[in-house]
Amino acid sequence: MTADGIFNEVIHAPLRLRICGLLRSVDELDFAVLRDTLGVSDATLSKHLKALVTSGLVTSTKMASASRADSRRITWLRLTAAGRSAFDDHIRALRKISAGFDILDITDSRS
Amino acid sequence: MENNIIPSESSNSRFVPDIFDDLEADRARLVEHFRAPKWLAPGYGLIAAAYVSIPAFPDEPTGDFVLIAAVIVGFLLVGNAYRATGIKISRFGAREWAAFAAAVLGSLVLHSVSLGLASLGLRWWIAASASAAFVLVLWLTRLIFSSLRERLRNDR
Repeated sequence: MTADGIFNEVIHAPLRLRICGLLRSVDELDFAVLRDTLGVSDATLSKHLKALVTSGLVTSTKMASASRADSRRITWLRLTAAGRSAFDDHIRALRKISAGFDILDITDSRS
Repeated sequence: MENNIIPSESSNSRFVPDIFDDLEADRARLVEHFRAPKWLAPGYGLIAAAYVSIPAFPDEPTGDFVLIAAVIVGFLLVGNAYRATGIKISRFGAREWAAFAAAVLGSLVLHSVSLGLASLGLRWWIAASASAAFVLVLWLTRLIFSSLRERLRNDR
């Protein structure tokens, strides 16, 4: 973790950033809740989750669900410690970029 | 089509506020989804009421059974609430811990009251202390859940 943050290529993709943002605020999220909150299809979410899981930023755990008659399971998603750290660093990096832009705006308005 | 190419820092800065707006909007939608199941607070209220009414049953096996069943049901309620909401939040803040401590202490005090009533032979009055425990824990459980919701909304 650094004060200036570290830009993360994997996280920066818009949907992956939103996934990490939601997972950062809770311990775990159900796949269906994440999908509904983001308003994307199962396939789209699965594709981006695969990238995050492959990078070691997110873990998924499948659990049997007694409330479902079919064999579908609940998939719990969680940010790993590395994922939390990478997301926080990425947000710090974005804030730094944003702050730099604000300074440029002020300088432009003065000149 | 999604663009995974990292833009330059100057072009990035143009949409950084939009990114934060998106994250805020997602959080707001998640909070809307995070609603306590209707049975959660009454469930904990019943557990507290069962614990407080133990002195009404003087024989030890009944009291032990109620206590063990209350603990098991308590854990089952948490697990089912996670499944029902699809959201797991286990980290309590100061407010939630304070409410939890108040629920435990309140139940212990009302249990003591029930013991006193039982020793005086006023067994039917234990129903009053059990009702008080139900209402207290029902209210505190709702308080804990709404506090968790508020924290989810405002956490940065």
